[in-house]
Amino acid sequence: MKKIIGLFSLLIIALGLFAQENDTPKNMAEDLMSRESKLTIGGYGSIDFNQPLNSNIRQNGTLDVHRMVLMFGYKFNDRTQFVTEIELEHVKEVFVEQAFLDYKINDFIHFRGGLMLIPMGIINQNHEPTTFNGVERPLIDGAIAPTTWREIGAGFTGNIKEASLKYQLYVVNGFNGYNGAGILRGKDGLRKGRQKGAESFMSSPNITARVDYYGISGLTLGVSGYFGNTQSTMYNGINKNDEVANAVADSTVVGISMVGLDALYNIGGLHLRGQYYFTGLSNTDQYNKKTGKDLGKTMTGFYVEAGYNVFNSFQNIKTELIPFVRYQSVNTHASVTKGMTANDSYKLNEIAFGLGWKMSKGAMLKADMQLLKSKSDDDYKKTLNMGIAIWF
Amino acid sequence: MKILSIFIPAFILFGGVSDKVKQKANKAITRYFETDSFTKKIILLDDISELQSDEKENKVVMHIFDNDSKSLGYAVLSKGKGRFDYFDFIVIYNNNLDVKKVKVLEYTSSRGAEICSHNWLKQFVDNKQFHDYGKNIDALSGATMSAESIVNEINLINKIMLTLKFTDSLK
Repeated sequence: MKKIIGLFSLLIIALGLFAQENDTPKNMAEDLMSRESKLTIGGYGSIDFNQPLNSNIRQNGTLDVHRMVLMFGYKFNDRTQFVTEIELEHVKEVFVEQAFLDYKINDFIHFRGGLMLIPMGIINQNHEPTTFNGVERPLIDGAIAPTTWREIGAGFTGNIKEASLKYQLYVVNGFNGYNGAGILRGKDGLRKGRQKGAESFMSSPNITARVDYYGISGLTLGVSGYFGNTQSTMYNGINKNDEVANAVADSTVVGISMVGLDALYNIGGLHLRGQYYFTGLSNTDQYNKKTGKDLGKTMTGFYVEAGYNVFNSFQNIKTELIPFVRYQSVNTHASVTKGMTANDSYKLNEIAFGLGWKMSKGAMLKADMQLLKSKSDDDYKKTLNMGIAIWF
Repeated sequence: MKILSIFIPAFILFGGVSDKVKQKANKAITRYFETDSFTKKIILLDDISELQSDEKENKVVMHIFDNDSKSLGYAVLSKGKGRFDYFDFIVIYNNNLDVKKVKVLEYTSSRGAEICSHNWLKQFVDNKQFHDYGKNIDALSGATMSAESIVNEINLINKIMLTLKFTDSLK
């Protein structure tokens, strides 16, 4: 709690310092208004209710202020901008979700450095809860590309209007695969290894890139990739010429090659989206032997989703009512190394359907039902989700 | 290329427009009217009492003439706001006040850059309706704020142009 108070005190002091530049006394709101061209404040949040449903067993529901995020952008000049998002998760956990400096070199190239979102998939980049259907983010964005996935790095990004292309190319820190014990596991793949820029360590940098094509009205097509190795503390302090020590350290590292394809399409009231991920992991036999983990050799996942704003034809109704349905499949043991048996409980299929009511673009009520079944389950597990989503 | 710009001091009223944006605006006008020799007359909005002061903000309305002082049409420079940043765009009208071209001139942020799509912007051309984002104008996932902003601004610009017409100010 002290951390939160301290953080907000710093922000208020910072805003106060900006206010001191002007001779005319103003209250904070007036000052922010007058500085709107330089300082941007925004945020998003979601308050969720999840109720597992089972005909025979009583199960408590959960109520959670899942995320509250405050965004600040400050434009130093026409070329230089700083953006940060400060996140409170489950009320009590504080994270910095983004903190990067962006410098426009020319119309086509920006330098960007700091704590950045890894540009994989749809949700990791656009995760404000009013921008997607359903209370919970899609399953594959947790298990395959572990949103919110961010690491410290640097690189280049840009927009080539003439070709309707956006691109991002960064060198970033990788997953923590070993810090005295193995971190990564079959159940949720790379998720536990996110370092999030919090006293993170690096033994080898990784590369990630993304290209979006938006040349067809209403359609955005994205292709993204992530390549490199996981990080290991075992390299720290060993002699570069010590072959045995290096070989042991190598056994604590996993190679990652992840590619993703995604598409978003809107026409009239119809909203369609889909995404596919493939992750190839190398050296998992040695990693699993060394750490006792059960990491798969490949992981795959996809989803397809359709939603329709039933108020689209009613010009007098300004709100949106969007029923949707989503099918997704995730398998973190799509293939495993020789001598290992794939765990059927890691192959999941999910059908989700529900309703979203957008009172405005930035305020939404959601309700949906998730039907989740692994290959080892006989029946679908049902969960009723309801949520309040905001974005400003 | 010969571009004559008259009433240049009026541009000063439009704070925040860089020389680069002005150059890009000239290029867009040149390309649409297919002439590299034209003159611009700024139509000042200050005296148009039918418009609220906030509606006039960040708008430069220009009457475009050829070398023989024949009216070619109009161009309006304006700004929109995305998630992190402002962007500059131009709306070009013919003499009948039909929208013939919308072009984003400067978009700094990578987020929301989908609004630069020529094909998406074509929805505004010869479209006399009141634009309703997500209804008669297709939504753009990942660019909600920028897209909604440019839709609202174009509605406002259309209103300004009609007001100028009915107050006999489009001269």
